[in-house]
Amino acid sequence: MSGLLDRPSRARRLVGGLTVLGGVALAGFTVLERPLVGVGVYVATMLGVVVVRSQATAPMFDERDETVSREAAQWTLTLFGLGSAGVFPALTVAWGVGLFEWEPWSTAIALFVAVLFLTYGAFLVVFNWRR
Amino acid sequence: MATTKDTHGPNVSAGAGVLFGAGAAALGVLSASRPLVGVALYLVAAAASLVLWYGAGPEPPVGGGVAEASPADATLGSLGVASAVVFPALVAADGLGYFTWTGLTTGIALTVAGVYLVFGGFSLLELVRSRER
Repeated sequence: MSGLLDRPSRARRLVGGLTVLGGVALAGFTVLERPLVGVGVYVATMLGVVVVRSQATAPMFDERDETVSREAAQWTLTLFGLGSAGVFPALTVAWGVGLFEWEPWSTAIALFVAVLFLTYGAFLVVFNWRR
Repeated sequence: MATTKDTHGPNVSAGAGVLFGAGAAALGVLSASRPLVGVALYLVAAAASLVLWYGAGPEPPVGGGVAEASPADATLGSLGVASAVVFPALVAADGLGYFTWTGLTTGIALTVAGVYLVFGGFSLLELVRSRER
């Protein structure tokens, strides 16, 4: 066990792989109508992540990983922000002229994006406050 | 996701995320049968997670040059922890017959999946770019 996890890069890949596997299994087995199997695989992969992280000898994520995560998060929110700024006004106009009907799923996406940016706004306020 | 730890320590950010996720799971499971109970539980859990996050405050940065968390990072981090609680809970409730996926909840689940797919893509891109430097 320890030999496998001595190198942080290998442990990092294992953690990343397990996380992706857990998420994909959860979604996949739900679609296949085997939700309890999905939850089982998900819990197993999360336990795996905990075990790997507790066994790792060196710190798993360094400053470079944090920079990567920070930049990626910024790009993600920028992309969703620009996309929403284009898509939602267009949908609302289409709805106004009768070309589009809000369905539960499209309403859900709109609401979720709103919550995402409300959260982002709250964090912006808190971070500026603390500075 | 990693940088939220720098400001709050892993226990606080995980605790706040789990609280929020538990509230959102209660909202999802109870929305059909007992909507008011679901909303009440959600509000209590969301408020508790905010109090935990705000009350704990950031740990002072150790030394110079430590990467600072950004608001965008914190947003996706806490949302990720919350999703990691909510969606397995909803899937389990579905399996046990307490919950049925509707257009609304499916739309939210797919959007969350989309957000983290995009985040994963940008992370890989940044990882490659940081290696080339």
